[in-house]
Amino acid sequence: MDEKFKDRMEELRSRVPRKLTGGTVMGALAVVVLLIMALTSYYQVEPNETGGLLRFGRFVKTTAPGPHFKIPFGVDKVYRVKTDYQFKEEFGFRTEHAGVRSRYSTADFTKESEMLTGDQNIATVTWVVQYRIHDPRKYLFEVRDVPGTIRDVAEATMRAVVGDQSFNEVIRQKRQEIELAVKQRMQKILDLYQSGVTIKLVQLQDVHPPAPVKDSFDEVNRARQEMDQAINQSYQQYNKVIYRVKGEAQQMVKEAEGSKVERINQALGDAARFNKLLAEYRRAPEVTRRRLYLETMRKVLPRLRQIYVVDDNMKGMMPLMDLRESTAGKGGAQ
Amino acid sequence: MKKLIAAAVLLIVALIVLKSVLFTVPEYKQAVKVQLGSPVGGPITQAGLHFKAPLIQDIHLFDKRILEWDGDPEVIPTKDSKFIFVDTFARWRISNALTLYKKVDNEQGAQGRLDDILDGLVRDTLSAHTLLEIVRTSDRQMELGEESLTGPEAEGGQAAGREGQTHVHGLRDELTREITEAAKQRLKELDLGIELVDLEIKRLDYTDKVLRKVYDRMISQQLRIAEKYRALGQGKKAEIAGQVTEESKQIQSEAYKKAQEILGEGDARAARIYAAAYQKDARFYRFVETLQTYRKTLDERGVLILSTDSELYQYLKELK
Repeated sequence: MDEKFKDRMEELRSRVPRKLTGGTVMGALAVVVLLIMALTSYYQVEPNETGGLLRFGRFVKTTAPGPHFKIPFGVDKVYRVKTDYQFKEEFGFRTEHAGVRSRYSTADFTKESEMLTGDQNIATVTWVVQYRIHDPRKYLFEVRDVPGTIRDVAEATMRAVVGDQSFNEVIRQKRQEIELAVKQRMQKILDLYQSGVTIKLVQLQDVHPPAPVKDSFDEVNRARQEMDQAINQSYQQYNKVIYRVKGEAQQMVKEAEGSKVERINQALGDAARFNKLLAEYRRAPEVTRRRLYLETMRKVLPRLRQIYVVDDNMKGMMPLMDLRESTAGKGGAQ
Repeated sequence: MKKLIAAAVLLIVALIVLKSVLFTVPEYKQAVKVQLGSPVGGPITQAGLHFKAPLIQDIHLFDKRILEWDGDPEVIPTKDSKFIFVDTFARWRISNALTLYKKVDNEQGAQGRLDDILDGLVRDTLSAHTLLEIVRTSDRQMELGEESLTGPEAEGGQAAGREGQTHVHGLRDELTREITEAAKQRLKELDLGIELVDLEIKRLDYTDKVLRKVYDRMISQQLRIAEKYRALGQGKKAEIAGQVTEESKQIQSEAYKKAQEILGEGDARAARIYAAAYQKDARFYRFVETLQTYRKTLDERGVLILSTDSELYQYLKELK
C-alpha cells in the first residue's frame, strides 16, 4: 500500500472513537450478513398454496404448506400458486362486493354478454366459470397469463355453443346442456395449452333477451296473461249460466212430473166420484136426476143479477117474474 | 486484519467476475447469446445456470410459454352479404428463439407478423361462408320457438316456414381449424421461429347497423306473437260464449221435451181414466157435467132468460 493510502487510513482511524477497532466493524458486518441470510433463507407456504422452487432459474420441486428453507441471495426463488383455491371469473357482469347482499358493477358488459344464436337472434347470456390449478408447474411455466387465457377461451366457447342453439333453446330449454358443453370444450382447449387448470364449474346466470327487445318480450307475457284471463272469465260466465240452466231444466221436468201425477190423481178422483154417483143414480135415476138439477139451480140462481122469463106465446120479453124473491127469499127485483 | 479485508475484497471481485460470465435462464424463458451484435450458438432452452464470455456476449431472453395474440375486431361481409364483427384470439409460442431474434427481433415483431397472417386468413376464410355456417358448429335440428317464426302460421298455431328450419351445415369448428392449419403452414414456410398453437373466434357480432335491424325484427316478431295470444284469447272467449248458448239451449229444450212428454203421459192416463168411467153412462155424464158447468159459469153478473117451456121454469113453478 502506498503512503497516501496509509495517511488516509490514519486520518480516518483518528476520527472514529478509540474503542471501534477494525475487528469490531468486521464482526458487526458479519452479524448483519448472517441476519440477512437467516431472513432470506426462510419462506412460508400458506395452507391453500403450493410453492414452486426455482434454483438458478431451474425448477427443482414443489413444496407443501408450512415453513421451508431456501438458498438466499436470489439463488432460490419461490413461486406461490393457490392450488386449493377455487378461482372465479364472471362474464357479462362483475361482483364489486360479495356478501349477503352482493353489489354488482353498473358498467355495461353487453359486448361480453350479447351473442348470436343459431337462428340469427341475439341472446344476453351471463355466466360464471370456476376453476382450480391442478398442476402448479404447468400453470406457472407453460402459459403466460392463464387467467386472461381462461377468459378468452370461456368467451369463445360460450359463443360457439350458444351459436349452435336456437334462441328458444338458449333462453328456456338447454341451460344444463350448454353448461356441460362449455365446460368440456373449455377443458379441451386449456388442456391443449397445457395450462394446468381444471374447469370445475360453468354456470349460466341470467339468460334473457337483449335489453332493446325486452319490452316486446314482456308484451308477449302480458298478452299471454290476457289470453288466460279472457278464457277464465269466459269459463266463469259458462259456469254461471250452465249450472243455473241445468237446475232450471231439472225444475221443469220435476214440475211436469208433479203435474202428471196431479192430473192422474184428479182423473182417478173424478172417476171414482162419478162411479159412486152413477151407482146411486142407477138405483133411482129419475129422483136423483131431478135432485141434482134442483140442487144446482138453488146454488146458482141466487147469485144471478137478473132473470127474465119469456113466454113463447107472447111477443117480447113480458111477464117479469120475481123469481129470486120466491126462491131465495131475499134481494130486490126489477 | 489486513488479510481479512483482502479476503472480503477478493470475494467481491470474484462475485463480479462470476456475474459477468454466468447467467440464469428461468424455467419459463429461453435465451439467445449475442456476441458483438450477432448471435452465437443455438437458442438456450434449458433452464438453469449458463456460461458466457464476459463483456463481448449479451444475453437476450425470450418467453418459452404459450403466448397470447389478440386480433383486432374486423368487419367481414359474409357470403350472404351480412356484415359481422369478428374478434379472434390465438395462442402461440416461440419455437426457435434464435430464428425469431434474427428475423423479427423480438416478441413485438412476432405479434406484428401474426397480425398480418391471421387477420387476412380470418377474413378470407370467413367471407367465403354464410353467416349461419360460421355461427353454427353442427347441423343438428334445433328446437325452434315462436321467436324464429318468419312465414305465416299453419293450423293449430304451429308455425310453418321458420328460419333455420332449412338444413344448415354448421362449420364454425371446421373453419377455425382451417384457419389454424393454414396459418401453421404459412408460418412454417416463413420460418419465423413462431409456432401457432390454436386460434379461436372469440366474438362474432352483428355490426351496429345490422344489430338495430335484428332488434327491430325480434321486436316485430314478439309483437306478432303477442297479438296472436290476444286474438286466441278473444277467439276462445267467443267460442265459450257460443258453447254457453248451445249447451243452455240444448239443456232447456231437452227439459221442455221431457216435461211435455211427461205431461202428455199424464193427460193420456187421465183421459183413459175419464173415458173408462164416463163411458159407463154417457147421458148421465153429460147431465152431471152440464150441472157442473152451470155452477161454474153463472155468477152475479149473469142474466138468465127462461122460456116458459123450459124445464127449469117448470120446476120453478112447481116449487112455488
